Amino acid sequence: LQREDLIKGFFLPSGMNQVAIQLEVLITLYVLFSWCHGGITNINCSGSIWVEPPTIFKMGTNISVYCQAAGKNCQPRSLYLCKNGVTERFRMSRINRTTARHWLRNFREPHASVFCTAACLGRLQETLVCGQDIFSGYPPDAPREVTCAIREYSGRMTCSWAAGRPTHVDTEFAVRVKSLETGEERRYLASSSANISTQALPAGGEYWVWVQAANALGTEESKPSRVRLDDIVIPSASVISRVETLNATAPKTVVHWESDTALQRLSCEVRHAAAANRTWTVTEFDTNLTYPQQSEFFLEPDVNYTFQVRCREAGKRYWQPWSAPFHHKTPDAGDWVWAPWGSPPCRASSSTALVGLVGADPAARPKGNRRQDVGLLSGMVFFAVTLSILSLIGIFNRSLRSGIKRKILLLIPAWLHEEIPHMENSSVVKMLQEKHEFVNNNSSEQVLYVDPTITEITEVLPPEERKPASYREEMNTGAQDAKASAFAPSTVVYIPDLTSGYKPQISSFLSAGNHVSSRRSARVRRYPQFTLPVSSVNSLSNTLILEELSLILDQGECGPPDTRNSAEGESSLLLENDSASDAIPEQTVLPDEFVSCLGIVDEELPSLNPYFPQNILESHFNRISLLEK
Amino acid sequence: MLGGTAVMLLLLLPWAAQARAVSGSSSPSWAQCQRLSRKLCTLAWSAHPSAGHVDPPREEGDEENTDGVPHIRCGDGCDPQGLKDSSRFCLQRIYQGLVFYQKLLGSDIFTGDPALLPDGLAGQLQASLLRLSQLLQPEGPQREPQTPSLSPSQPWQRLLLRVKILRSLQAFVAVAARVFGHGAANLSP
Repeated sequence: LQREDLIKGFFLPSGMNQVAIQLEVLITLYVLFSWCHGGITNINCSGSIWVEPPTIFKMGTNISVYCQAAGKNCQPRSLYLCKNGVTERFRMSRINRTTARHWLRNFREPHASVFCTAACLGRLQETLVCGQDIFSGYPPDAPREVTCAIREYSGRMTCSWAAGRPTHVDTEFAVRVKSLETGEERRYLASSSANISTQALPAGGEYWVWVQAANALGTEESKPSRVRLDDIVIPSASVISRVETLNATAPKTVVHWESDTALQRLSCEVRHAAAANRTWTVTEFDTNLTYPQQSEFFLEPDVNYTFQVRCREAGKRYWQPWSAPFHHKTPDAGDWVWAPWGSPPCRASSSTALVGLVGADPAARPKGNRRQDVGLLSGMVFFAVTLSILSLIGIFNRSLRSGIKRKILLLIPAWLHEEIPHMENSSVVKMLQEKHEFVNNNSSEQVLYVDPTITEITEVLPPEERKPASYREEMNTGAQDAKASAFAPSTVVYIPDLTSGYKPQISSFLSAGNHVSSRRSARVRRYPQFTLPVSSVNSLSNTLILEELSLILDQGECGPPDTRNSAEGESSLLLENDSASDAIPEQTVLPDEFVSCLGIVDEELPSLNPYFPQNILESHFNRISLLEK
Repeated sequence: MLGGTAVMLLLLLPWAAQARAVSGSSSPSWAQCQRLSRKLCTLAWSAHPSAGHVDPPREEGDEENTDGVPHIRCGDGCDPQGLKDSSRFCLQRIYQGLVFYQKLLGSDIFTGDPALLPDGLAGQLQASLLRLSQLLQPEGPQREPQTPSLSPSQPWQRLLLRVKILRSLQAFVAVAARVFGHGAANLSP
């Protein structure tokens, strides 16, 4: 509080004496910082602290912490032990005037920081005595599984081992190598593994190798291993360069891999697993890696596989680590080509360039029946080809065909190949012939039986005088025309309309001069008395044509507005609505007062006209009602 | 009393002699400095909870040991009249302190085990110190600011040193914040 008051008084009104202020500030700052003058980066001990047993001990031990105050100006009333800062604070048991002890049972922390303080007579604040870090752990286990290997071309022997349980304290390892030939022994310090240059090894090619482990709590060593340098060389790393699936009788996946090893005889393994189950299938073989290697597999289609390879010198102990995983997806069974002549499904060469898909999808069939399917297909193809050949022979060999025909005629009864009925004896035919003569005399209907003239579809630009506007004028009388035309004798003439811009190869039911829109066609169709001087079949077909035409043109409501507006009925309504948006000057239905008011509202901010002019509207409505009365 | 003050004033003379121009002739951005110094106060008080609530034990021989920790003293001109006359000396002193604590916060005292709780506040403090010191960066060739004499510390020492340093920093930035507060209120153009 005193410090805060002093700080608050740092800036006081300037009316006070400046010198007095400065002196006060000086004293304030002096008091403020005086406590940390004793070295902000150092700790000054005023006594000593020690632990029994010593500061590194076996985990679970009961320990005693002693504290002895030796301050010049401190007569300790009591001593306190703080562990890990001020989180744990204990009053220590006094042994004598300056020394105290604290007992920590079953101490199992790998590390703890402790310091002790003394409450001195005549001082409010405790004085630091000193502090210490204490550690607990385990003695090392004897190293096991000591292995030493030399990676080809590395020039170094790498030894590793299993260290056992964690010790929690600093533990050092040393690899000891003793030559079997000279008896020379050398020691190489290590942490968790040792990397020893082969040049630094004792002379000879065969050694005893063992590992020592040591920490503050004990020393252990492994059993010696006999090592012959020639036996521990690991071939240079193998690498999978590519994987491909080739066309063959059965799909075959080839794994290409290589290594730059100088070793001649190698024993290698290639393993693969589907990404889904990760169950490895390992293939072993002996090889010579002078040349790039390849391994072949017959794998399931459309599956992601992972491939890895590793090698060791034939008959030796240490393998390479597995190579980096190489992922490859086999092609889908549906990608295979079913080639003619019953060949099995095949594929170009790689997983990317697919030949194509012909025939049924083999993937749709059970995979186990693929070979059976191939046989069945082959048989079918063979049968079809044989049948085709025989048919061709029958077709082109006239004498053979004649012979066959004769033999068949001889074999079957005569009534089977007699031409019946005998048309020349039919009375009905005779009557029809007479009727036919009568019909031929009627030239006006003859045209109905003439096939339509087939012309090419061409686009003809409409002449200037047939603009949509004029077209609309014609349409204004279209309804009456349609009715008139409907009751007038008319014929279906399959002649293209030369006046229209686009000429379908059908004609209108109406005369060419009546340019009826789609709506009009639809109306024509609705007339119940509409009779057609043609056969019912022709009538039906024409109606269908009109319906189709109507459907097509109904969609044309989004067509040119002038054409659309030419229709009557609801079309007229549309015309009115549409024309409202045209450039025709309109009369406003709003009174001038209202419009002017809106103008004012638009021009000026709401703050100036904060309310809607409801009174103007109301007066306008009142005026109208008065006029009506 | 007056004699002791005179002795201290004599001790402060070399500091006064070292004072040079800060940020050239232009004044710093008082408002910006005020904002940053307030943030520094907050961070310093929250960086080590125990530093704010528990008094560290005093050390034997504290009174005699006066090593080179930059302090804001009377002769630095951080009082209202001094700031009115020229703020350069005071700002120079604050700048030196900021650099000093910045280095301390980057040492193994704060980066080593055990980890400072709450984690990350030391980094924030360091970054804020850097930003404020950049605002007060003197122009032209300057004497290298004071650097703390650091030696490898043991884990048990770090716990105590952190409290000491943070307490010192709290006091430093409290005064600095008052200086910048006064500057922002009275000296801003």
